Amino acid sequence: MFLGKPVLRAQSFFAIIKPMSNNINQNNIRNFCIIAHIDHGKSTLADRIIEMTGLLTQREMQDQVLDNMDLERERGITIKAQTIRTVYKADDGQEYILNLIDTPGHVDFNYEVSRALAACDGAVLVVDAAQGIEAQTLANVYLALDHGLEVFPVINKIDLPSADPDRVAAEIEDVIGLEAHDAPRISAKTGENVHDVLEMIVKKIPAPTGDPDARLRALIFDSVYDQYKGVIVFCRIKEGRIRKGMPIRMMATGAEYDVVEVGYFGAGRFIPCDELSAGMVGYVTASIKNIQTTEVGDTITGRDEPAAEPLPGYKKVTSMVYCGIYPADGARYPDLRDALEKLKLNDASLFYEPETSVALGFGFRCGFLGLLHLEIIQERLEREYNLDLVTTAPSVIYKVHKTNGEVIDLTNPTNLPDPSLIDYMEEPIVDAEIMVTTEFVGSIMKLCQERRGVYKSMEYMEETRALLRYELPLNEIIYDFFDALKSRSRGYASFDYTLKGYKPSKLVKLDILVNREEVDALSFIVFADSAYDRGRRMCEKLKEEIPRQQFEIPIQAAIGGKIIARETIKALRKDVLAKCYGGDVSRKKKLLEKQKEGKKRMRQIGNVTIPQQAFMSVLKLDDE
Amino acid sequence: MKKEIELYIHIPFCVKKCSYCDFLSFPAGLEVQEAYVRQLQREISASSHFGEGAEVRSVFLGGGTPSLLEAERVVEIMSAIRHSFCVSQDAEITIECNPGSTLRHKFAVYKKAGINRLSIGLQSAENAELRMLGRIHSYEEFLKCYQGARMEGFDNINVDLINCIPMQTMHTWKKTLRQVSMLRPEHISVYNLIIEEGTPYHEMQEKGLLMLPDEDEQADIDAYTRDFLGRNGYQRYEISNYAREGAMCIHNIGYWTEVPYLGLGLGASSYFDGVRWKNTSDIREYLEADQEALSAGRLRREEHQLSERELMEEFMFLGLRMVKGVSETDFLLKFGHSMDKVYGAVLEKYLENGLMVKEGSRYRLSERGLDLSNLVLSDFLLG
Repeated sequence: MFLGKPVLRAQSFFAIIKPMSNNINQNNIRNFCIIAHIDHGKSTLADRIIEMTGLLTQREMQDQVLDNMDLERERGITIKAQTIRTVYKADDGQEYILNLIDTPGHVDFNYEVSRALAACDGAVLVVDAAQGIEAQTLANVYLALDHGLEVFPVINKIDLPSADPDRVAAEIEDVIGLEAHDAPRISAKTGENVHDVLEMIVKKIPAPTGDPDARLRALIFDSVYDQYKGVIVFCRIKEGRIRKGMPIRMMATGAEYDVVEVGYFGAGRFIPCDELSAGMVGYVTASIKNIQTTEVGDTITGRDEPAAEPLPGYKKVTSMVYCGIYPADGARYPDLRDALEKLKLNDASLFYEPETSVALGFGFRCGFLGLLHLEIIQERLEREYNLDLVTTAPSVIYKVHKTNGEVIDLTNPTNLPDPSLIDYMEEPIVDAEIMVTTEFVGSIMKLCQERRGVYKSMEYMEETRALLRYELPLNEIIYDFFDALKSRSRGYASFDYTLKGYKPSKLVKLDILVNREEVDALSFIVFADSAYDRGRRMCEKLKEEIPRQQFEIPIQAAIGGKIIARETIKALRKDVLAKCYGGDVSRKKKLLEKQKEGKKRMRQIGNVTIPQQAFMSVLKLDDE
Repeated sequence: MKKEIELYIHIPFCVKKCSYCDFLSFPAGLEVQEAYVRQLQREISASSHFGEGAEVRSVFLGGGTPSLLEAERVVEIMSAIRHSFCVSQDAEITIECNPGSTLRHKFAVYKKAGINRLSIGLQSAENAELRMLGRIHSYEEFLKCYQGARMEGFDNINVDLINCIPMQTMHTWKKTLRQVSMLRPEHISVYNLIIEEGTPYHEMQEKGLLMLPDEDEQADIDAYTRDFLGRNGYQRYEISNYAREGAMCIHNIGYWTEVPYLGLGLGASSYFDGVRWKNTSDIREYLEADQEALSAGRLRREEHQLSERELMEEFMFLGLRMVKGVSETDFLLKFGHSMDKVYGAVLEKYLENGLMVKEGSRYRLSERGLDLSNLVLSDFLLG
């Protein structure tokens, strides 16, 4: 599941490239990806490579991109194919097939990234000539090196006035240990020296290996759903061949199908061919209706002559972050259900199940790979499906060990058993790496400390920047950590994390009472020692978020029935439109209608109406 | 009894636009003013069929600043009205005036033209506040103007005030109220400042430059206003209107009680035979309309025939602005449904929490209900 910028680059250079014959020499294939910190120019470089190899002008590219998109839209196909095959005639006179496998750059999609990397033989590391190495740069490089990829650096954005390629080259050598003195110094924006990158790809990235006559083993690294073709599986053939009509089996899920079509990727379009063989990257369709049977990381083999062992590295993806998603207007529950169903078709890592809240009515408990994934889904639901949502505070999975020996994975704070039945609880811990300029080290360390971080190490990258390593509880990150990090470093800190494991922790459930009624959707799990402080700030925040109403409303925070904080929303005193519009009654009515609409967008809890955003208050408790 | 109708005449001119104003008004030269009045006369005569079999119970010249027109223009407008409509003997005929642009001799002319009520836009008795509002007159100029009106024999005068404005404190507001009530005008309107989009105030507010009293201060100001005016013989009869005995504004009451009215002039609103519409707001289009376009009603915009549901909604949310509220009996006679059947749940809710009161067959907003009128009235929208 690749969720980066929508890619529809150089749509039609397959118009120039004739469908290739099947006997492609492995030596003339290069499977690679581009890795970079966000905004370091990954997409721009990809665009340039396509443009330069496809021999299209920028203008033509634009035009064709648009045409193609309209066409695709009419056919109702979702285009996510960020994998592109192009042909490059190198300085040595030979033609090479370049398969560019794009990877999402975010930690949430770590597993997907790792599978995409496993489909490559090498990686181009793009580093911004002004900003240098950032947290995601490191994370991505280590991931690529772990997969045994050949990584070579490229220094981008040399056209910027603040560019300092010498410094960045030295940094790459010092920090990552990659040779960088001969790294191409390019401007993907202007196209300067991009030719050098293409030559490097051909020279430095090894050609794929693998016996085309062995039994089939193909690695699934992504899939999309098409309403006509069913699931389109993206794979890298490691050994053997796959062709039309061949019966196949997914080794982890055991699902079996007959191949309907195989092919490769023109930019944004699928181009069928007869066969894919070892070393090639392409797609397979087999009238697969259920995306759950084609998990990323699984191995495709032949049903009749199956391989003995699947490819290594498969694991079942599990959600890290959960939250409740409810329609703002309860009547739209069926629409929300349909929308989630459709999103799920394209996103196997999205989890959801129906849940009911006293406060919010019918909705869904949804599981995500991380916060970004949560945000993307939320935004897609709102934008693509025109839904107005109430989202509850995100929660991680706590392991609740009950006194009877039972262990519960707790995803919704409301389901926490009675404290007398709990022996102890565990919470997920992550290893975090934070890259920050030295002047902000102090304030970032303070932040990590406040968030119960355990200091691991600090390395100075160069005089002005440091890499901080902390062990942090995941639940401290999912609230407002990113925002706090940004505001306390004036945007200079970058951040990455990996899940480390579970640790016992002193946790309590904090309940919020509005007008003396407990609002289940506002409950959250919190570290016991922070409970008072969080409770107090939560009450303050809700006092700001909930508008005054006809009567005084107490807002209380409680732990196990004991009130620990209280605020009071004073009664509304004035809500009147005194102006006379010279008999313009429709204008007056419009204002009343607006007010009535506003009421609809609020949630009625007992006698109190609560605006949607109040349910996310817990996300905005950082003081500084 | 003849059917009663009201006329509203819009004069969209002013010397200078005030910082909070979003009414349809703008500065214009004498020539434009004359052309406008000529066109207005044509529109009046082209609208005479609305007056058939009806008697005009009130005429209101509003703006803008109608007193900005040369007094002769006002006479022309009045005679055009009398020519095309049957104006009742005791009709209330009001003109809006601004102190800065009014000269005493105009009042004499108005009087002769049959105008019997003046509505003077004072807004505040504090000169600093007037400047802040972008008004071009001072309190002293208002005094002169007010005295002049009295001397010309006007015995029905309204003074407009605005509260909850920048720089205002409870102290300055009390002073304004005291000074104005001492003059004993027959009628006082008190509007809360509303920041409307597109005004300089809105811009200032967006930039955080407008220091306004907060909700509690505003509520205190309102409470004091009610109390003070009540003690001084001004009875509140509508959310923002106060009158001495027998001096309630007939024209305004018409708006709240569904009396048909015809709005003439640029952007004016009309309500006739259950249809609401507005004239075009485009001055050029208005001035260029020929006799045929005027007769055929081609200047009308947003024309809308009210459904029974909408009529019920209006009956409630307009009627409840009046302190005396609405009558169950009137509702039943008008719609053939009992009010209880249509609004039972809402009425019960507000009677219970004290925002409404029932007396005999009338429902009305309580004092607190009037303060929270938006909250209550929006619940009377159906569907």
